[in-house]
Amino acid sequence: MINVEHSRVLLRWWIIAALVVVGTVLGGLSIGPVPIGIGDIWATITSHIPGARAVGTVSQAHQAIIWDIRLPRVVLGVLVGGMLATAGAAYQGVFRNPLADPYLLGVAAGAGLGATLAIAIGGGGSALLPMAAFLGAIVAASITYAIGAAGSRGNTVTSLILSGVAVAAFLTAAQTYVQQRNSETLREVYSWILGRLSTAGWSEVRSVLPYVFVASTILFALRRMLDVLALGDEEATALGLPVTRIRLIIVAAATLGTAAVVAVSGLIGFVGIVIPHLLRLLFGASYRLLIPLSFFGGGAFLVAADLFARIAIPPAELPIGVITAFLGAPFFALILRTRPGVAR
Amino acid sequence: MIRVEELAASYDGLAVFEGISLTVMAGEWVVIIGPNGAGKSTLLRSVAGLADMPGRVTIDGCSIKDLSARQRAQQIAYVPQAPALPAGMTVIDYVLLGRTPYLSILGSESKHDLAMVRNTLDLLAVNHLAKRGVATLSGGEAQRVVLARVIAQEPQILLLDEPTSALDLGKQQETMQIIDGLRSERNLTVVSTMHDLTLAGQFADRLLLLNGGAILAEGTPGEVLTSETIARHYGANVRVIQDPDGGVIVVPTRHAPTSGAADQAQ
Repeated sequence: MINVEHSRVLLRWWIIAALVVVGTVLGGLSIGPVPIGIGDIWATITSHIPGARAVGTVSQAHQAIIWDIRLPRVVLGVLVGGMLATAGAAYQGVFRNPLADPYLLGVAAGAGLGATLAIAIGGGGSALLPMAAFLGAIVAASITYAIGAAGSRGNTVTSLILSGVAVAAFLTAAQTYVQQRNSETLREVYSWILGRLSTAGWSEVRSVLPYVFVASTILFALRRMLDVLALGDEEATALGLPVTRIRLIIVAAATLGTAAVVAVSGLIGFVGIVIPHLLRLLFGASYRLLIPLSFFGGGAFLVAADLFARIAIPPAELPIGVITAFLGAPFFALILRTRPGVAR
Repeated sequence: MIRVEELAASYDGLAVFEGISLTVMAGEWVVIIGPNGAGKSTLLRSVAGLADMPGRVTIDGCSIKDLSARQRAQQIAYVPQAPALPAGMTVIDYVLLGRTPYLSILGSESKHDLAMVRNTLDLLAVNHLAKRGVATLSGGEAQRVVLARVIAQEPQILLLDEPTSALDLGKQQETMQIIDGLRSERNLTVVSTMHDLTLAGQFADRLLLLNGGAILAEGTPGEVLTSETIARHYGANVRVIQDPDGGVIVVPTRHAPTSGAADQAQ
């Protein structure tokens, strides 16, 4: 009874993934300079749900810490981490390249140039920054796609990746130039490049949510197509797939989602490449399972990394990009070593 | 019935073949033979609709250019010489991909699809491999699993590029027997390319010899496989022996056979 087993296995992993996310979110809410109990968290959240009856009473200060500071940050962590990991999995599938990551098509370099220009022109804490980073990312990916798709004859995948390398090199050079001409903004630019989840409140969440929702819904809906694409363009075409169109839709969705989260969080590396591979080692390579699990896994991982970034050297905060690599790399190496049979 | 008319193909401006016309009857097994670089694979891919080439390919009177990719995939299954076997993909998931032409882009497999795939795994005796990774299979196992995917596709036409190329002798014969069994059971039309002329001659209804951009010989194995023809097109010294059980046997020899003796060596 393969089909029954199939769905039961899937259901089990869905439940475990959801529990992991809930667990890290609760950790992110309760741990900090001011420890807060689960009861207060529950009371605060229920008091903000329209129609729900508030459970118990919470001090004004705790309520503000939970609702205005920690919760938006944790929710943003889930959205950013989930989006980066899902986009990474999608890129790896669509390009059939294990080293593909969400920044593959020059997205990081484009966003970096946009952010640097915004900081140089608008100064530190510029309100322009997210919009400029978003535009930079979209423009860079579009140029990469235009060059890669036009310059290819048959081998779209390789020519897109090479085109991404060229575009990224060019835009990084431009970014370095702008940065050198405005050396007083170096610190600001550097902090953005290293990535951060520190938020002013719910506005960042509101600005990325629609993009993350649309992008991850598209990738979720097309997850079976990623399995077909794993056979290569020719066999996928022979199975009736409109390969070029499907690839464009998947790349566009992954890039849009990445650009949106990068615009508010900066360049958080590692999540998009390592989380999908980790999940592959544990649960197999089928994208039917990998796409949804990547969202949960990436979200949980980034919330946990952010928690560590906040409490490691109080009262200062570590850049989250440092944490993701510092924690993620050894963990990944451990899995790679202890599960040799699956690492092919 | 497959009808190919005036098909041409070029690669980097150089013509691979021109003016190719051929007909394959329903239920027939036609094997395309020819030396390396003759364009056998390109011809097969053109018939599969995977290469947009000048000329006309019709299936039962309907041009494949008028069919959508999905409609085409419901009729024609194509297997390249080295089919992709993605690491980490299980046999059951791989065979399920054969159902793609019957699913919408956003859809997933129904109970019917799963039941059908399970029957297909039984048919090809690979049910015990269902949970294995396709990348971990032996050559013979992998070939059966690939054929299971093809059968799950429920095509009328199988286009197989070198189906036996990576297999040992026993597995080559086994694979050919499986293909032949599926063909007669489901009345499939099979077009394949092959290098092993003896094996081709034993299973094919008809052989087409492709060389120098044209079909230079066509007919039953006995008609096409003569030592002169093979010497001319492959540059090979062979002895062609009539098999008492039917068909012909092509044996490479060190020296050119003395005239007259070879072909009637029976």
